[in-house]
Amino acid sequence: MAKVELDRLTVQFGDVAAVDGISLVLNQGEFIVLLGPSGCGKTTALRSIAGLQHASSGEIRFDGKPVTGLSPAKRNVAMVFQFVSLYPHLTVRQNVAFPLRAKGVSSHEIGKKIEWIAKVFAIGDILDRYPVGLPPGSRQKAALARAVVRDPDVLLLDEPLSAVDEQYREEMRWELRHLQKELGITTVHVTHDQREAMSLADRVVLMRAGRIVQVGPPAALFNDPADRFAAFFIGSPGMNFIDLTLATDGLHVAADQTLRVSAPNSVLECARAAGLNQIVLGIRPHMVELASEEGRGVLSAKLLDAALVGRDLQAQFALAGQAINVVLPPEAELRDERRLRLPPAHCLFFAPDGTRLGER
Amino acid sequence: MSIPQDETARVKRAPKQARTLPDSWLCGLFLAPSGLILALMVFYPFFSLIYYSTLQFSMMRPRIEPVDVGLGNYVDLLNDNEIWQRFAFTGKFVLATVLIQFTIGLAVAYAFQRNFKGRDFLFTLALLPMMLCPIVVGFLWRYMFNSEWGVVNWLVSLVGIAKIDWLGRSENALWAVAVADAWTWTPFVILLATAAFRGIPKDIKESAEIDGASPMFTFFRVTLPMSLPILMIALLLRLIDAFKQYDLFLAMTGGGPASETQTAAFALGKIAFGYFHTGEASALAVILLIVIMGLSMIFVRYLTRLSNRV
Amino acid sequence: MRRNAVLLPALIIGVYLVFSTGPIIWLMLSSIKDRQDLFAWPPTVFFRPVWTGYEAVFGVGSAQNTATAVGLYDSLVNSVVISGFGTMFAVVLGTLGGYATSRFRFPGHGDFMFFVLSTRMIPPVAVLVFYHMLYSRLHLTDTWLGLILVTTFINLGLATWIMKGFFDGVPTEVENIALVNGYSRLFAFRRLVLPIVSGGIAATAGFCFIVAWNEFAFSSILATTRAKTLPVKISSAMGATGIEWTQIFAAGVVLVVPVVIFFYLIRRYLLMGMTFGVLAKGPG
Repeated sequence: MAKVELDRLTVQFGDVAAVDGISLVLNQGEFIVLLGPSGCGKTTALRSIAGLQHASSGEIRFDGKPVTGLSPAKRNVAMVFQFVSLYPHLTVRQNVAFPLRAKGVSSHEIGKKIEWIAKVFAIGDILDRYPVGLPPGSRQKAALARAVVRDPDVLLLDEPLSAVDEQYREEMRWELRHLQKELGITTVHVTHDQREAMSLADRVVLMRAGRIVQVGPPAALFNDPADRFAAFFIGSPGMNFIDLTLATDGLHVAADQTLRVSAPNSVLECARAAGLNQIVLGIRPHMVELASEEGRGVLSAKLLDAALVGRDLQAQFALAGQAINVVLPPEAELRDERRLRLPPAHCLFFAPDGTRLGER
Repeated sequence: MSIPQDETARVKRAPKQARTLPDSWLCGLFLAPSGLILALMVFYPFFSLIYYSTLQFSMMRPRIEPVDVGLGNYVDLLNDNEIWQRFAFTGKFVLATVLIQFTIGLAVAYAFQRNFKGRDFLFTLALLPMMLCPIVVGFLWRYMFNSEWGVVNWLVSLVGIAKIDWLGRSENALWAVAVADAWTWTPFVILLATAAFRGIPKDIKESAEIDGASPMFTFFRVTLPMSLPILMIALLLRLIDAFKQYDLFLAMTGGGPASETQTAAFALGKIAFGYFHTGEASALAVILLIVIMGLSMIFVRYLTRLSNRV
Repeated sequence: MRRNAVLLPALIIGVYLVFSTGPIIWLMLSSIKDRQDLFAWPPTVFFRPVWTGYEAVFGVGSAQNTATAVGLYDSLVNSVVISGFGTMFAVVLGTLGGYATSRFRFPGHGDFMFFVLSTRMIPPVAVLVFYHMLYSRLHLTDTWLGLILVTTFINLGLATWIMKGFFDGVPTEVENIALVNGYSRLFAFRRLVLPIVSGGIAATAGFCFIVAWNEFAFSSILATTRAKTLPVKISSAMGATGIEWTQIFAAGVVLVVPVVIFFYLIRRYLLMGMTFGVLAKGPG
């Protein structure tokens, strides 16, 4: 396992910088997830670490040693791809043995390693099967076994679970995390699925347009997003945003000036200092509460729609002309007109350009 | 294999179709013309061939009544040691030419894998030998293999070896004709092998690279095994053609010296148009066909088993 | 390590190109040598060119040919028509048959494919006589139709097998998307699948054209006057006095030019077809 450093890594395709000067330090044994929408550069960054993608500028270091010019074979990394990770013409056993054979390891050694890895990954029963007959979950487990068997410094995963059926994905995530902790290999995992990122990562690296938006443990991204993009990208359903105007007497809902909202002083000071008279309030659907009577932060809203999704009751309200999503416990009482409470503790505030206002 | 984006984007709800043919009809429609032609041009001749093989007659003497000899022609042929020699020679020739074609062909396809400037031009250039008229090819190589003034012997003399009699001795002639045949058809192998190699998913090639496999290791353990279905088809087609090879032997050796370089196909031509023993020729043709078909069936069975796995 | 990775392939291609184009250059050089240079030892590379070979082929100059029922121009037209239509029919029927066998796994499709392949196994010598008799009876000798039919059947096996391989490489989702949306299969075949295999069609057309253009055995027996094709014409126009090397070589050069032109015209489709998953699954 190695410590991985990206130092102002840039990858250009013609005029476009797919990866734009990102710097990152991955500690030994850490499970890092590169998260972001399509085209944000996460896969390009991953392939650069692998050596499959040539870096335009910047440096990549493993344990302090630069590897930027080295071919993939010399970097001692392992990679699991999204769709085809196993050699279809070999059995699982032969697949796992492949990298060892490529390096010239003795048959005896190979046998011992396969025994060990089969136990760790619980693939003993499929060792002599061909990939074509196996379910996607088993296939990716075998692919992981093959990746890990030669003790790589870094393990790279390129959306390995996206081709797996939804119902198996949850189970595979647990297994993946468990295995990673047991083996302790520094792992970089790429995905566009924020739920996957949140459940797997020690730290999440949120990327957008080739740059890093925020790095931190999942909880930090959830509770303390760096900007509006981060706030909306994480969490499902996405965060609600309400436009506010800042008047001398405080904050009002932009679409209905009679409705007032409170905010911490730090936010108000930030906004005034920046000369803003319009800001945005963000609150997650899970945090909106039904209120029974008037009070601070309570606003009237009209019920638009409601549906039972899984164990939650997802409702949509119209608040001053804007649609607000709310997630409630299934037994919540819904009437045409309800009062919604936006707990100040869970409100986040953003400038029109997306930057976060107030302390973080 | 990606679906062309603009095609699928345009596929919305279809406008009212006048009448759609059910699949089975369409299938029949697509197959009917081919089936008809093949039945007429192949089945019919094949069965008449079998019929003729039971007779003893000659095309050149239509006034002499054909004699029904049942399997007599076959018995005569199979008892003739000469015929067995012909088949042995044919087998050796087929082996030789296919060996050369595939060794060179696969090596060149290996070399054409990575993209480089001018690759397309060089690739098209490599196809040239296939385009020549086979008889011309035969004469060309006969000219080049001539023991007195052929350019091959000149090249050989540069290395200090004395002039070799290529076409006058059957063991040399075997290789000379094999070289000419391989020269003509190696491009075919290159074409199909290149297609096969390029069809391997990028992920697999990158996996091998990351696994630390050298290009050679990857070629023999991944690229070749995964290309087996196409390569087997190429091999099958080349084998069939090698068994039928006639033009080259006609131009280069004329079957000589004596009948030493006569392949089974050549012997067939001789019996049919040299001696005009049409019945006997038909029997030999049937025997040859059975040999070729037998080999093909083995191949096709193996191919089917392979393709179920990859 | 990168340098070595380039060296071996470059070497292989270099050596092979010498091996494959060398004889062709030798062919062209030898076609304009006079008798002395032809048999010179050591072989000559620089010499004064002589055009008797080409004159014989074209029937001009020193070789005003007499025993030729059909002139060079006419046999050229014959060859173009026969090869062109023969190739077209073979490719069209092969594409249809290949598609049907690839998509509709009808019972016995494996046997059908083997039967199709077996048409390729017959040595022409074996059936020449039969064909001559058949054609005489059907009055097809020396006709365009007759030769086009023969050309088609010669190539049908190869065309069907290659096209089936290409179709096997196209995932069924392509048509399914259209079918689900209410389009007919014919539409899906024509508009969606065919463009994908256009490379395969080009490759098949190329192979078939080569075979059709150079075909000699059947043509020489079945079309001796009006429908005489170019290869036959050239061989009959050449003197019967020993082996006229320059004439043969000149003929070879002349015959190959149209083929090269054909391949040049379809080169874009040919190279494109080489990048798809060709024949990915084999038969069955």
